[in-house]
Amino acid sequence: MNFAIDTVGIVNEKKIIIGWVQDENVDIKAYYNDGKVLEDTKVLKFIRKDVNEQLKLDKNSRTGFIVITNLDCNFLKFNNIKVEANQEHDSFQQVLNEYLNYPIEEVKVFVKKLIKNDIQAFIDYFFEIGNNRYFFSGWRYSKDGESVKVVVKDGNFQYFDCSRDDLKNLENIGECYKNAGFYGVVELNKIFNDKIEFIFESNTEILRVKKDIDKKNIPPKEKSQIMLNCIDINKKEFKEIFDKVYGKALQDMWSEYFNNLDLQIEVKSYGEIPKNPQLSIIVPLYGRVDFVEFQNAVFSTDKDFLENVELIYVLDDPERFYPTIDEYLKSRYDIYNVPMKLIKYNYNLGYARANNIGVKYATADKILLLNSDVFPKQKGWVSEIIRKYENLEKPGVLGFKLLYEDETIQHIGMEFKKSEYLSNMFINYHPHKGLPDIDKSEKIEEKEAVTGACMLLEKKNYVKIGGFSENYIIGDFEDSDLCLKLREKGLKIYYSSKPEFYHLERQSQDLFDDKNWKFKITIYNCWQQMNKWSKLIEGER
Amino acid sequence: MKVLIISHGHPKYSKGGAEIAAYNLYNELNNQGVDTYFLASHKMPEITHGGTPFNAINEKETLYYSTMQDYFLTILQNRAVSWNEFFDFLDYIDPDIVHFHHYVHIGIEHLKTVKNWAKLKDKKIKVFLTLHEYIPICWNRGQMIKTNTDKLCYESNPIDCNRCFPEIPPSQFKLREIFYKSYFDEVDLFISPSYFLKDRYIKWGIDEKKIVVIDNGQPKREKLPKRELKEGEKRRVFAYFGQINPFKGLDILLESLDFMDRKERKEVLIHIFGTGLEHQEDRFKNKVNHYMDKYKENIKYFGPYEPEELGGLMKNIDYVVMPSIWWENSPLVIQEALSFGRPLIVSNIGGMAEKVEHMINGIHFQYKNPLDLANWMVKCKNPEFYDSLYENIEHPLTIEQVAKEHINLYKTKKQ
Repeated sequence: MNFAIDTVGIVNEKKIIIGWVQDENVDIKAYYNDGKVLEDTKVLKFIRKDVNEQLKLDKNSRTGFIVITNLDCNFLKFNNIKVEANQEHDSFQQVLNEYLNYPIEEVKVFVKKLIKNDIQAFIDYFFEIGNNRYFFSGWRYSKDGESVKVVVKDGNFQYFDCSRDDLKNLENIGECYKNAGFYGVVELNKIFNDKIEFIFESNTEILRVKKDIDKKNIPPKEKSQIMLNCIDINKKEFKEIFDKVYGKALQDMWSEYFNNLDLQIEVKSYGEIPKNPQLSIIVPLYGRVDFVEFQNAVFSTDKDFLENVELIYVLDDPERFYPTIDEYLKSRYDIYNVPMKLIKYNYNLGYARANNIGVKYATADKILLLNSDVFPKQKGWVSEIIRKYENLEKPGVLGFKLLYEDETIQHIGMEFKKSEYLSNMFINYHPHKGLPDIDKSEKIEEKEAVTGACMLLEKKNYVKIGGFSENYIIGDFEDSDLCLKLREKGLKIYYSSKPEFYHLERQSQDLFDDKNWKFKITIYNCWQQMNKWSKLIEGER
Repeated sequence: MKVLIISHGHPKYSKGGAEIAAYNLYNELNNQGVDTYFLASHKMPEITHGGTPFNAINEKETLYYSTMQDYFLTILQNRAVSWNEFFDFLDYIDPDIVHFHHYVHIGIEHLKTVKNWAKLKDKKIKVFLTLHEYIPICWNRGQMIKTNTDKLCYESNPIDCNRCFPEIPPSQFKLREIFYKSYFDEVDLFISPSYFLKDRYIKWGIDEKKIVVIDNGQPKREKLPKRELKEGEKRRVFAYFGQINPFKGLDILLESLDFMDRKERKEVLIHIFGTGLEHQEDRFKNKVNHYMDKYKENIKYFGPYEPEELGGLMKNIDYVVMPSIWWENSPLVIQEALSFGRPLIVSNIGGMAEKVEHMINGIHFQYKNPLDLANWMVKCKNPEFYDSLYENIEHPLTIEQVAKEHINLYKTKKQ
């Protein structure tokens, strides 16, 4: 049997082999060099007038062929005859152009389609998230509107679609932007040269894109932001994404990050802290360090406070304040004469870790975890809250009434509330938030949870349960989680309507330029809480 | 007993009512045998010595160079330096009473500095604070009027304050309030020159027991005889004294001429003594200039005056008009007019309504209302009407009396 390969070349990440074979009925297949058949190969057979004349065959014999296969193809087989097809030929482009003007319509169309590729794709991110797993995200669509599948070569992967409103204006994208985004996690078996191949396939076309692994050191906060921003919580599957992929990935990534920090802790004192204080107050500082001034001002005229409290500020914002905080506190001490301890370290660790570190340095039996934007409304509150706590039965935590600057309710205890918008997860709900503070009666009640903005508890209990859980991202849900941990140990969560505090909440919450992200973090943290505590939370209903 | 009076300015350089009142009190206390010192802040780097914020004028009067960083909280720029040296100053004077007449420019920290100093010395001192405007209550220069409409404000709260200053979040106003209140906790007794101002501060949160009303005193003056009238002449000279700015309402007074008929207007003269028009924004400036031009025959502008000239100026006028559109406290102009024996026509609000008695020693007109003011001016031209007001005028509290009341308070044991 006569045959020949005229030319070999690559178009749109596909290998194209053009030639002829004497027997039009021969079976043409493409192979790897290990002998495996390449299934996604396409073959067009057509009439080669020149061949038919030369070999004196029937003039309508379909002796010509064009094979489209993938780049790994090493040889073709005509029935059992093996033909090398490794090398690209210099003549390829010229031959291809000739076929564009081939007198048979079918061939012309085939070649045209071959040259043009309707699939457009781009990979935005590809970075490691620990344990040999990688996050990837990007977009793809086909100009002809066909759906495009994403394959990560050499890995176990799972991906999800998402909308990409930013692509609305791309050529011929039409409505496809609504599903153009993709994101997922892949566990890689092997990596060649730090490159990984993505394959985008529609029914008719295929596009291969190689992507370098992002080597630059993206901080986990940024990685989380990138990952969480992909999720469309309006889609039902978002919970599944956490369950199957994200939940563990994010947890691993963060704990690996924190475990590898070279943390240097410094402790300083300003003024003479009372001996045997009744209460240690721990205040983490992030963003608005100037709140120290206002808290100091308020504490400075309260004799009860000055006699009984060990005040501990934990600087959790080294980027902005590490070099200046000492001088700042020293000069505040000179004005206000409120003795205080400063704990500072070289990383931003978040609310949970900041408190966990702060509590280690607390010397009183009782600790009050206090936000920097919380201010007592009257003097003598320290003795009052201690007295109240001591009269409680099996106390775990005592929380208080917090008011906004306009005297409306910020916090009178928290409830877990089922949210239909969030796959029926339970969110932390602040009842009566923003409503007028009508009930002025003095009362103590048991609650499901209380806010961490101002919570009183015993150090021994805090230590027993391991303090705040550290796997919630950026200050959220740690407080309710802590309450749940204490409840699991048989202790109770209380709320007292007196004394009252102001909580100027908006001030320290402006940590997020990106509101979308802030919301996604809440969802993620909420998912974590549910994952851990759904029995206890739902058991009450 | 040693007393230290702290003022936000020295009358030598700054002639505001509060500075003058503080300085008068300082002098009179010394006259009455109380060893009293005067510390006044200033903002003139050219007269400072290197390495110290202090320069003494004489044995008892010292200037204090201060740079205020933050008028929202009235705190100083270089805080560490200020209070180290402030301690040194207090050591040197060793006062038993520290009486602040303000904290703007001085630095509100010093309310605490003096207490910290006393604690360090294990010494009992008392801190007094005389209140002037409504600064901790209102960020609009303590005037308690709305920024965009100039409407009167009756009570501040963080949400309303944010409406006046949309760039400042409500919570920041709450912080401001918390801040001032914690400083005011250090004050043993507040002095308010008016009941009106006292009530505003009590409503805001100062303990009623901690605030006492003593008006600013005036030097003892002889009541001037009534201005001599020509045959058939009316009481037609209405005078305006003081700073010219929108809050003081000179434009209302001038606009009142619009509401008189030609005959009535012909019998009215408005004399203006004061300065500041050139520093005001165009809308106000243009309005005032418009009327000055329109009623050239009726309006005479005399420019600035020295306190010593006041007697001579008062001699040749009939009424003093105070048409302020903000509350005022205890306006110096009212005290001066009464001490010289001149009836007043004032806005019917705040400190003005308190210090002038309607139909007794003066008239209240509907504030911001030039028509009402015009009607009263026409009525006031009547010489018999004038005489009845004139006869009722009594001399306001003298500096001597004021100093006596202060000494009594200074000597009172802490409650």
